[in-house]
Amino acid sequence: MNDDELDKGVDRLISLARDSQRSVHGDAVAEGLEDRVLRRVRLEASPEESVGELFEFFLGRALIGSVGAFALALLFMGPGLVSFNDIWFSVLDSELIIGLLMDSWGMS
Amino acid sequence: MNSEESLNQLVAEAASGDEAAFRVIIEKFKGRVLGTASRFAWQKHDLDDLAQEVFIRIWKGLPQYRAEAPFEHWVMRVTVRTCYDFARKQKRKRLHEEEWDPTGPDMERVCHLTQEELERGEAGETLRFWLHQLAPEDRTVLILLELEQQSVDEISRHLQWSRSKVKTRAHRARNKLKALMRKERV
Repeated sequence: MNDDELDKGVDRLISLARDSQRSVHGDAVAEGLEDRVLRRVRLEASPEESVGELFEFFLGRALIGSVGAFALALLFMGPGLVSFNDIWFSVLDSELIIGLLMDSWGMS
Repeated sequence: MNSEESLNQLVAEAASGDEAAFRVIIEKFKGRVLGTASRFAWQKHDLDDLAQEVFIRIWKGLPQYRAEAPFEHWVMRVTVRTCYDFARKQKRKRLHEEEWDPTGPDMERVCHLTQEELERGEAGETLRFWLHQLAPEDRTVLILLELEQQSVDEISRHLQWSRSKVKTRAHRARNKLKALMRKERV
């Protein structure tokens, strides 16, 4: 292909690309863009609030998990697989471990 | 109140932190912003990030906006600057091999694309491949001048380059594009 043909090829390519659809994703990205931008605006405005939200999220999950585990343990008490004392001592053990950890971090 | 006055009112409210007013501004300009941004970002997540970044910069810049030029011009300036920064971050990375033929498109074939192929967007895909091989400055100036059909003055204003720099860069970019195509295929 000579230089002249290549020149014409570039012109044609640019002209076709100009008129072709810009992006197949444009409409999908436009959908709900306002909400995503405003969420980011709020996050950037108050980062401490977002950390608080994150903390609440994990605390909520931890609480649900604990209640669930306790309910499951009570279920096992029915057929006599575990006793109430086992559950109680495991709670005390975990408290002991938390206490030891806090001691080692100098928090208590 | 005419449309310009109501837009100025919206801008003033958004500049003072009114999110509802800013939401209306996003609705009003997202079409134009996405139009330009989609020439630079082709993956959906990149386009989403880029469009968000443009509006975040607009939000942050609103208190400094002085209404010396129409608001739309200012929005486009922020858009072009953000797209240029995006292009610079991308550098000259090659596109993923699953999506692109690493040897490049066949120029003989490109010169004879049919209307049907055009409708399938083949020309856009082909040019996109070649543009991605160029330096960010060259890619940006070609996209703005040839695809967005902005004038040299507009590009000069948006990128804060001199008019002669825009012209020289565009000329060189076009030559580089041709050289790349020749090297790969001819």
